[in-house]
Amino acid sequence: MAMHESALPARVGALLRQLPEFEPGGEVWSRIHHAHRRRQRRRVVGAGAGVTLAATLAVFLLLPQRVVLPDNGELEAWQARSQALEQQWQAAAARGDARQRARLHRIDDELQVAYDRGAGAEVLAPLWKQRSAALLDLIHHEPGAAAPIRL
Amino acid sequence: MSSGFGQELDAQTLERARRGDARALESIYRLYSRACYTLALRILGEPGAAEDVVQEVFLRVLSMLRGFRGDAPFGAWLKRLTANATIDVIRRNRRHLEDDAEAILESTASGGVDGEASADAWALLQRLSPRARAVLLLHEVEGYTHRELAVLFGQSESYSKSILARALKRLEGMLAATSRAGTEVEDGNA
Repeated sequence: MAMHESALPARVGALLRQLPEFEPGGEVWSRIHHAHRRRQRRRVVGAGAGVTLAATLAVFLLLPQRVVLPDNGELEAWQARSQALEQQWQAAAARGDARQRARLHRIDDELQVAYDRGAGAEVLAPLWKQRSAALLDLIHHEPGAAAPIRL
Repeated sequence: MSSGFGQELDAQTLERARRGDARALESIYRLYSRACYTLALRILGEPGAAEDVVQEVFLRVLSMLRGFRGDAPFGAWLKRLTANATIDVIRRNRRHLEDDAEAILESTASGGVDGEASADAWALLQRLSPRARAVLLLHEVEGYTHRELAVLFGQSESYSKSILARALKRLEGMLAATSRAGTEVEDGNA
């Protein structure tokens, strides 16, 4: 800090020295912690959506011309199956093995650190691949897990 | 006269916090939250608004910690974040509501300072506007120069000099009046 200039009257100086100090309420740290976790989750989800979109675009751009895209009916079937798979995963994640969930959380944390450090695709892509594998393990380790989905 | 931002943060805790270690982050909060809250409450005079400042400042710290290079002491960085966040609140709430001074003093954490003198000091300070309190406290207690205050407020140096001069004059007047009133009571009792 630069040189400080002060011509503080003695009585005012004494007054300022007598000012009380205060403690914030006990719940403030908890509020901060939860708000921080929410922001982290939003960033991971947002980043995930971005990667998924990029991957989808890449698949379509790299597909040979002779591949026929599904018509509207097929598209709806894809969407319905995708939603069913997502629901199965959510059910599995809710009941899933604690070790597998811990693995998923660890990968999420690594992803968060990677995004915060501005990591490139060469770091992010393998992490997202690991995340997909962890999710599949969570689903397939469930009793009565979904049979492979055929289109 | 520093309000706790001068406390040193050890390098190990800082490094652990940079890696996202929750306990290290909480240690940093425990070390500096009182300084942060005290500065915000002294200026804003409203516990809810001061807690919001603490929350905003620490959320900013959590999101920026990996980029903190350590060129300046951590406490100085945190103090600047607190000052900026508090000044932003003053800018947003020109008609600032102030809580009852007695209620605020219930949460006081001063150790070793005479309670009555402390309450008197608080009451006198609260008779200044939040902006005048900000200039007075940041200059006289937290050690900011007028040049630094000019940057914080986005104004010229003469702006904070003028506010400070008026605040000091007003406080001196209030202290003189309090002193005269005390003497008259003593004379009346004699």
